[in-house]
Amino acid sequence: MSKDRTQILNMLAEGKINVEQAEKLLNAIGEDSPEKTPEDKGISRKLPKYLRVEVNDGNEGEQINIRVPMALLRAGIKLTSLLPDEAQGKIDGALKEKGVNFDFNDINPDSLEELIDALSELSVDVESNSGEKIRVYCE
Amino acid sequence: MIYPPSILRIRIMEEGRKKIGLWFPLFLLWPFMLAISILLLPLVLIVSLILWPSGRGKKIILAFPLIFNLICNMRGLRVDVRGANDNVFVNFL
Repeated sequence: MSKDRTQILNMLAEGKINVEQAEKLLNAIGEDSPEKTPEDKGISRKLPKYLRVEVNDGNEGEQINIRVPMALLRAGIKLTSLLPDEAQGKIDGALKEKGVNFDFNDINPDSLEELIDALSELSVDVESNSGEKIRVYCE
Repeated sequence: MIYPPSILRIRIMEEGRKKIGLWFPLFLLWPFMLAISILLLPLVLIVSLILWPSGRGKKIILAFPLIFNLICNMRGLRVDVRGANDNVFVNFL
């Protein structure tokens, strides 16, 4: 318990303030000290090391299991920055044709880290009626 | 310090064919890769200087460490495809 909270509770116990005032003060302290993130509490957030893609065809027993290191994804995306502009334009055009509105030029080191960070919470599970399963997740 | 993958593990199984299992020691290629890189370096520098005015020279120089980084980060890459009768497994260790 924080020092401020103890002080407020002591004041309440001594009768210097009433319950209502104590509640207001405690609420005010609560607003001033926002909820701590796991990093603030000293718990280091485990970053994912691999992106996993699993495809399982239920009928024939065909399976695809791919494990891609996150560092390889990072390196690959960084390498796209070296692509000639004409090639990038062609890639963007092809992606747009497929309905993917994604521009590699928009990726900078900060947004790349954000992207990887967002991937850590990604988990996609697709299961069809025929028993085919697709799973994409990070570990 | 990051290192390139040391071993490439390949396993190919096809119906009616002999199973192929290979532990390829990639670390044996490291000295050759280093030698080729050193030999290519002057050439890359010359080409990048020639292409510098067009803006591609900088990209060529930057490509060198980025490609090295890409190769090093292949450690841990695993592809496993299993069919009803066939099986292909590739793993960089």
